[in-house]
Amino acid sequence: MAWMRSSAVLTVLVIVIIGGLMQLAVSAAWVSELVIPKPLAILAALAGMLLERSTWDYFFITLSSTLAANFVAVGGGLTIGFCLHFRPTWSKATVPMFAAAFAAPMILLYPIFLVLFGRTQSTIIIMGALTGLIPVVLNTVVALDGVPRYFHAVARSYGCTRWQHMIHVIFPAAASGIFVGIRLGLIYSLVNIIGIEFLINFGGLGYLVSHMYDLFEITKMYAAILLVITVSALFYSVLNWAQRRVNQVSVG
Amino acid sequence: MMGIVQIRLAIVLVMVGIWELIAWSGWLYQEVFPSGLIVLTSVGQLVVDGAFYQHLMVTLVEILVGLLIAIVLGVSTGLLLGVSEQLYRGMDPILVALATTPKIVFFPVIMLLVGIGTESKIAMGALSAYFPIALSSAASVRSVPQVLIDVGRALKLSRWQMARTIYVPAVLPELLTGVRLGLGVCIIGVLLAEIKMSNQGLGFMAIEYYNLFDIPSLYAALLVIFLIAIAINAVIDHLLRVATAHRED
Repeated sequence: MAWMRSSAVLTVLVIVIIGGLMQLAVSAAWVSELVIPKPLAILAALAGMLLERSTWDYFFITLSSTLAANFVAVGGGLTIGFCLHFRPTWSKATVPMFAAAFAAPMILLYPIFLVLFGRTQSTIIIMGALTGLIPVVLNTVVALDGVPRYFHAVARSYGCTRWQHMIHVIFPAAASGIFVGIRLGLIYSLVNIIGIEFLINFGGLGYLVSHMYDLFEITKMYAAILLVITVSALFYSVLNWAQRRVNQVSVG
Repeated sequence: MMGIVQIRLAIVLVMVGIWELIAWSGWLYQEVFPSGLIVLTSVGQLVVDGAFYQHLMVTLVEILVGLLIAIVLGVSTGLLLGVSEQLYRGMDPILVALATTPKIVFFPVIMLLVGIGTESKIAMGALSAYFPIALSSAASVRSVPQVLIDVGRALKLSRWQMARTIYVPAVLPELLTGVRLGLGVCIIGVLLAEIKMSNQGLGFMAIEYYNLFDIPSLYAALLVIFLIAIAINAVIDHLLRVATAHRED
């Protein structure tokens, strides 16, 4: 724990030093306040924004889009992944196609989704779900295929039913690998959702940044960016924590 | 039983078939679902148009300059973090937090700092590519096995010999992986910035078609952009593989 504490202290120290230098640069008028506001003013603006109901509304729009996209990505990804695991020929045929789609810059296709579904929350959710689904499929297939053969042999020697085999052997052994995909999928979903909100000027936190820029509320724009960074970092930390818990439970 | 090739072919044919069915049936707006033939005709018109190559050049230059800046800054950061344990522990959580944030939200800050011209797209590409390069550089420097360093010291290698025979070969594969990842996000960063605010480049070209509701040309432009992005990634991937294979020899 001492290591954790000292790392956190070092991180806070780095943030304070960078913030202090920015505060100094703006106070000494080396940089225009119209370009970079004082960090303390940004923090004050963020505190003020957090007291406004509209900020929470934006947050809940992003949250609801992310949850809906994640539901589709995880549900669809696990289903496809499990189906492919039990159909090896289909798995060999389609996994490289999923891998190619994973490496492709899917977010660039957003104008097509705008044409198909309009400037609506559906477009944001569908794009988030699509980008999140692919890593879930890929990692589910890899994790299930990677369960050692002797696990299956032991299960058969104990006379496990198909259901017992799945619940007590395959799933615990593959859980860690499957969750790697879920974690990646959820992060990609959130990143894409906020990105598209910003690009199409519609939705939650991404829109808030774009909206503040359009109003030339520069301090509030920086505060909104800080909010996006904080939400992304918290989301990432929670998923990392969950991954560690799953790793402890998983026997693979 | 279908083989792998038949399955792939069947998937593509079913997808194209569904698209064509919707396009020809008129069940949905035909302007939104043009036939594949119309889209392919638009691709043909696009690639013989001189303006396309001007936009392509602008985008390629922005990607290349952005990537070079990211390599210089990212590798410098990685080296600093790699050699200082305390700096690494202090900076790593900040870099990871920023790396997981969608970079496009920083675009307004970039526009305030460097304006809305080509520089802003280069900066957007550099910012996007910076994080994977910096993080992989730091990780690669930190992962040089102590035993290799000890062997170098036991053989009384000079600093230059240590760098050339121990550090560079040990660091290079992971560093190149970071550059490869950086290139992918650099392409996305530049194109998204062009889509958001620009008057030249492939991203601008695509969004102009959208604004003019010229949907077949929009599909054609995105198809070509997508293929170019995949081709650039494949070429760099190949070059990096050749470079590391040579190194391993």
